[in-house]
Amino acid sequence: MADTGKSLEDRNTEIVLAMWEGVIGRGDREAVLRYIAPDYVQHAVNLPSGREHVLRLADMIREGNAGFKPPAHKTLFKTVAQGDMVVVIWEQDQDDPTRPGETYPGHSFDMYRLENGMIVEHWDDTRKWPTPWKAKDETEI
Amino acid sequence: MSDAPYHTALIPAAEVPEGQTPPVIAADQQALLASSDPVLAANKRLCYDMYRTVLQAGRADRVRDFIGPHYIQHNPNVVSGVEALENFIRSSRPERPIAPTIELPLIAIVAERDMVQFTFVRPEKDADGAVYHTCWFDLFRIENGRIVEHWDPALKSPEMLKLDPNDKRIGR
Repeated sequence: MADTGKSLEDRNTEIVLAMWEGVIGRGDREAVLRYIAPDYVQHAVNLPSGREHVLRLADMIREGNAGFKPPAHKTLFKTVAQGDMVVVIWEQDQDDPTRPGETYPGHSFDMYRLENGMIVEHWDDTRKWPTPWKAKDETEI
Repeated sequence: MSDAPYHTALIPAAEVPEGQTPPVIAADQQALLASSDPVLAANKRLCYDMYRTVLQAGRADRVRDFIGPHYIQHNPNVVSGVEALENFIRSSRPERPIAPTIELPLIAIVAERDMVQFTFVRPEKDADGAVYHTCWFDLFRIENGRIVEHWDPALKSPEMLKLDPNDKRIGR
């Protein structure tokens, strides 16, 4: 295998960052199918479990769906990986409620569990959107 | 050297509406503390004991056993420094007995290099006041056997200064 010599943690981290770049960065369906397992378990509060919902999310990102606000720009801050888990911490400017016009750096995270090079489970710290997630066509996979 | 297999069994932490995936917590916190690298295992233990002693039991007098003198705090509601942390603990929560485990709904402890990350289930309320479950994280950097830096997802808000995170337990 070409990746001999890399630790499991380094390989898993590369997979997670490649998924992020493809799926969230470009709305790439191929990246969804390549990196995310079909029975993907989703703990983020705005999406149900299942890869089909990530495919739909990728479509919305790629097509700039009206009324859909794409994920805000955030900068990769750190990764922490151990065994089958990979944590990604992001930094993002937040409006300062006490100093109008100023910002401060806020942090958020995504945690993934991988099995055999595929992402099988995801957690993050998002709050609920005002309107619940609805796939346009529930049969679309 | 590999830390796999690392994860412990996860158990449902709460009931959620149909169609959502219930939040899960670690069945065995001791398994989360394991690492084949003794430095990573010690770093995890340091953060775990700090959590139980300072954040959970409110023991401001024990802060310096775990936290470095030049502690950098990235939570935007708390200023940096070991003294500021002592004051924050005293003003935000009462002292309690030191429990053997973390009583907040812990999902994972992940450590690599000089970093240790804790992930928790976090109950929040939506605009209608209904409870839902998201996650919270605490990220620590360790240097010379002390915690020297901390990040979490907190946003700037005056309410946070009085928040006792021990109120974020599930089913209590």
